[in-house]
Amino acid sequence: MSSSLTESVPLRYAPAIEQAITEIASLLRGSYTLSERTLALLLLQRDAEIWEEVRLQENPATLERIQAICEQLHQQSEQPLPWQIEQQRQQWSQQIAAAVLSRAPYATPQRTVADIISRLCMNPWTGFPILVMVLYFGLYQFVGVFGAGTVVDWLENGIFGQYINPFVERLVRSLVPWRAIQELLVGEYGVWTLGVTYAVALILPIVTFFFLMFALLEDTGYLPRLAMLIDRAFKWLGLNGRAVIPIVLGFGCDTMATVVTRIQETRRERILTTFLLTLAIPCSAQLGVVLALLAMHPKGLLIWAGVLVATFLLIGWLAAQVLPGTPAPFYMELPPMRLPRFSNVMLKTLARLHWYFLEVFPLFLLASVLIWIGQLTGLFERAVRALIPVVQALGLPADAAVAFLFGFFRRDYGAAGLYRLNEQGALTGNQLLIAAVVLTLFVPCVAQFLVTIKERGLRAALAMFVLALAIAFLTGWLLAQVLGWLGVSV
Amino acid sequence: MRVCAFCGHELTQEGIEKACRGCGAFGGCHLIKCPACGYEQPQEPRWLQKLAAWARRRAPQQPSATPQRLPLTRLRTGSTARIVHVVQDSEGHWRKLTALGIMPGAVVRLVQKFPSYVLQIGYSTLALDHQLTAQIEVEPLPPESEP
Repeated sequence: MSSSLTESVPLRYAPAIEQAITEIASLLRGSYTLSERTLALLLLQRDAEIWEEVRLQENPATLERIQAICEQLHQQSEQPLPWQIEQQRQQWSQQIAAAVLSRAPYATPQRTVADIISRLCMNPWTGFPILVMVLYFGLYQFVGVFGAGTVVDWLENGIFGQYINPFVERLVRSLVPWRAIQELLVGEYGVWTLGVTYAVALILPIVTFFFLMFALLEDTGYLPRLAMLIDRAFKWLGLNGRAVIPIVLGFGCDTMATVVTRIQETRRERILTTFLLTLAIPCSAQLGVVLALLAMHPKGLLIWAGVLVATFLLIGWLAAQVLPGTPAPFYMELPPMRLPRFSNVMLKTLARLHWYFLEVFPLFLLASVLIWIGQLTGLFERAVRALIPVVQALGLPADAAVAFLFGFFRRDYGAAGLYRLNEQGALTGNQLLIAAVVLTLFVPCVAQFLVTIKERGLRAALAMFVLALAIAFLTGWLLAQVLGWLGVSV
Repeated sequence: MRVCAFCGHELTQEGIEKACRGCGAFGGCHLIKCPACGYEQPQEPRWLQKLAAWARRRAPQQPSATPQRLPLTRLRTGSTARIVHVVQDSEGHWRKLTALGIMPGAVVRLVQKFPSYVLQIGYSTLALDHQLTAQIEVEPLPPESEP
């Protein structure tokens, strides 16, 4: 039906434009993915990317001829060509719409429930409280407390810890005689015990709940409204409203959020967001352990959150000043608010999980192999020894160095190490607070680091790694000095 | 227009500056000196000026004979306008706006201004930031016209 309709109402531009299109189309000789007509149209509109591609494939004489045709057409037309072309397209689409749609009189603006909700979400007075509620219940309670807490506990410690892992361990140890290989497969940080268990029992439930929530929010049309509310604040960090999606995702899993920075338009913005994710956004696994760690010290928890927010704002602002380029302007279409469809949400969640698993699962396996190599070659012990003086400068016991090193491989492992130290009574409240701050700001986990290399390149990833490390320890040291100076103990 | 409270002489910014130049107080006095009679009257506080400007904006505007042209950022919330020009910046942001249907001739309704600008154009609603919105120049239309 659609083809017969577009045939009866053909899309034709003004004669002068049509002639230029035919001329340019007949000149093109290279092989392109787009049709010659489309290419000609884009060349006429001076699309930078297409010009670049055509320059690579055509000879200078042809290029000169095309330039001349463009120049002539631009001089002839009164208003810019993109506007003319867009106008004719709109007329064309209206013709088609008129043939198939009948429109109710528009005189009274409709006030549907969706319309009212939409307005409430966009109005600053009601929008910000709604935003806080959505983040608290949707993200913190549903994904953080239920998904990352209850379900992960049941899967990791229950199903995997009590039934599957002991069985696999016995199997491997009885079948494989070499100790090193045993360690690689089922050791403390083995491919199965760390890689597979981590990916399936920890990350899988968290991202499942997260994707479910995200799909729900996406299908209601709330996310563009969230971006629109937050745009002004993010401009200050050299970002725009679009960055809110990866940043919010980061509270679920920073690795996934780093992949999602692809939705941003410029490299500058992607680098800024990736760096903030690396530094100041704790993932849900980490959040859970840090909250448990500081639960006995409410004042410490408050200081921890304050230091984190301050670092996020300060470093974001500084990075925006230092990076070359200008912030990209913000524009976004706001779709009407809709009730999500159950089947749609489920399908989307499944599709994303599939994609996520394919992209991230191999990285977890690689991480456990790296740890195995590190332990086998004694590289780890050297790293721990190198960390001890730094840890002691922060006023922490030497044992904390091990926790920091493992924080790189599993963000929550590091915090869990501190948890054990705390249970032994080795840490004071202040030490706990400083350790928690440093661990949160600390380098990304190994999976996030690998994804950062993949997305941003090795050089940028290394620079972020070193910067995050430096900022983390500097902040920790400053905090220790300030706490001592003010005589505060939490 | 401000006038001198003593002699009724019309006060212009230029006149005030000239009268104040001979004084050694360097403008820290919050007083305005009339260039005609030399009477010093207190300046209107900033907040009162803002209030007056706000009241002027709220007052029903007289439909002027020649439609005035203004950046979309200055249009009153809730009113409708026709786009007359979009600034063609070198970075090509205007091309993106064109793709969204924002170009001369289109009719838009400004739904809200804070924290971002929200426009209605045809059946779609768009959110834009200040930078992009300031690029759009419009001519206000009477309130009953539809987007």
